[in-house]
Amino acid sequence: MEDKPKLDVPTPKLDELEKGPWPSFVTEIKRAATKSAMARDLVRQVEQSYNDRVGHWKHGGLVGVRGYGSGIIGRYSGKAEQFPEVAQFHTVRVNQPAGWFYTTKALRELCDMWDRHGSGLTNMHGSTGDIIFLGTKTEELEPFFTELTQKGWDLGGSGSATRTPSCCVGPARCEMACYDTLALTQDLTMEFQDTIHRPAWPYKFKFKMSGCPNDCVSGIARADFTIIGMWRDAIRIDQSAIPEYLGFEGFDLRRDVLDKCPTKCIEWDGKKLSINDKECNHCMHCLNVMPKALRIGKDTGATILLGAKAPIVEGALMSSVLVPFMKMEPPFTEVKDLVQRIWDFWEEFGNNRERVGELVTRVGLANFIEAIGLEPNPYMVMHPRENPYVFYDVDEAAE
Amino acid sequence: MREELKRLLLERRFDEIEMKALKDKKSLRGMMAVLYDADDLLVHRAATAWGRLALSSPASVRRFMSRLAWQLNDESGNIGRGSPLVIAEVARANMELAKEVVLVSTHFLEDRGLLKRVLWGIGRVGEVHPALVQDIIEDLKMLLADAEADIRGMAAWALGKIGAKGIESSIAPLLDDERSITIYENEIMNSVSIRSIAQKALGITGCGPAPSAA
Ligand code: SF4
Ligand code: SF4
Repeated sequence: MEDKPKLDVPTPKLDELEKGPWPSFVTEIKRAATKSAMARDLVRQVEQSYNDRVGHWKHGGLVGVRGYGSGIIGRYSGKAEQFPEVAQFHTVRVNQPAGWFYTTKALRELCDMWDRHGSGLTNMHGSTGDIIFLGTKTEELEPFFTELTQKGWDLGGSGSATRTPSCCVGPARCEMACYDTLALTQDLTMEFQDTIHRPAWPYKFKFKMSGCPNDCVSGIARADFTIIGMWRDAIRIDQSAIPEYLGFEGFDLRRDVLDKCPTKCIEWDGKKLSINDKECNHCMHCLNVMPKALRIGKDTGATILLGAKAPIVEGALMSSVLVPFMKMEPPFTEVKDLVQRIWDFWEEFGNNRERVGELVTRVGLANFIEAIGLEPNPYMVMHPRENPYVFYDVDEAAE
Repeated sequence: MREELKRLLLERRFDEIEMKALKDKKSLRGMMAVLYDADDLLVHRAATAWGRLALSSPASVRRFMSRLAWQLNDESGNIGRGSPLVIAEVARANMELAKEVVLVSTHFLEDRGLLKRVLWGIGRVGEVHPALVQDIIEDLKMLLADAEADIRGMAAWALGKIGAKGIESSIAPLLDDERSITIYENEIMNSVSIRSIAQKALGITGCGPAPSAA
């Protein structure tokens, strides 16, 4: 195991967090502290926080770069006299490449820039997906931003803006991908650039793109607008690949696959595997267990879900299906039009700091879909088989 | 959209901006986006346009007021540097729309990045509603001694607009201040000497050079 970095300041409380089998953020900050005065004062301040049992960050005024309304989050030390190097310790969000693919050259470029302009500490990546650069002074923001943009990078979103769209690795590395998540993410990022950098919304708006219902970016629980890859024809079955699975030690086709199918729509007659695709609810289980034998269908696109939020304190919301199936091919006009219609409605009727999902709950799904020009559909529900919404016109029903 | 709005603002085609804003919801978003621009004149002109909209279409402006106020707070994760200007112009045009937020920006007198615009907003609101800003006169007087020319000049300008009384001794040192600052008035940026601002604030007329358009 690599030696723990030694600092000339005692940090008995933080040292506890270096024990155990897992990598420790404390070790990493201490390592940075051997080179960076900011990281050194950060270690000292955090130790102080553990002693005092209180965080020592405070508000201290707006910071940003000229021409942008988001991407930088101001942070100030409440103990600036004691820890002067972290008196200002702002966070910078940088738009990550789609799918988080980097060359080592790009990573070195980013880290070198941050060593020059900030504490050298990074968080790869934040929960929105951005590259997070932790800790810089106000005077370094403009020079850093100039260098960053000259090298072809840009800031991400923060606050009441469209947040930096993010996606799974998609077709670049995964055979489950039903559409090109990377292409769509790049396209939305460029198209909606202005709304990322110049906040005009009632609150945050997050896009997440997953290539299939495995939803590796957890959009369904976190994003306002999630695009999940989907197929609408049959799962492709390679019968010749099944015997190999049957030969695996410990593998039991009935126990591990058939009985775990939530709709019991997959069968094995001893020779042939068959799926009743009409009943398949695309849970991905069988495909995940037997990826050599089972593949997603050929008629692919995506399901669009709306309205999740995952706050720390209270009121988590999961997404609901908004569009059961949409083809997802460049130039992605249909999905972009839908986004604009949703924004028009939310921007006009959303209260300050009300996420789009909360607005839909407040006004009712039926009113919302009518306002954005979608036809009601029985798939627009959380649990189709248990709790169907019924759409009817009161006057028509009375007749 | 933002580029087109910027062009219209630079050409002072406010009527066209109002027409657009009434027709297309995206124009109002564009008007928010312009508020982050690096060009001070453009941001001021956008605030003027928001003020005009507050008169002609109050319903379309109302929902933006709490958003603008929230963006002044560093917790918002945004940089609402245009907010003090818009809030002031809307309050001047239609106090009913801004009554809940009109004093919010006065809480940000310690935020150096915002201060010049906060002072401008106080001056604009104070000119038509002097009673509303009486509580912050003492804070403004303190700023007359600020090391930054922009701040002491703008504080003097705001006190003058409000018509504040009892400021003679605090403002006196500025009567010898030869530095000039830029102030947005009559839809243009004017370069004005601090000395002449101080004279105006004290009601001394006819001895300073006339403001020249910058
Ligand atoms: S969400 Fe699906 S397509 Fe994307 S990486 Fe995960 S399994 Fe692959
Ligand atoms: S994807 Fe799920 S529901 Fe569909 S057949 Fe496989 S296990 Fe059953």
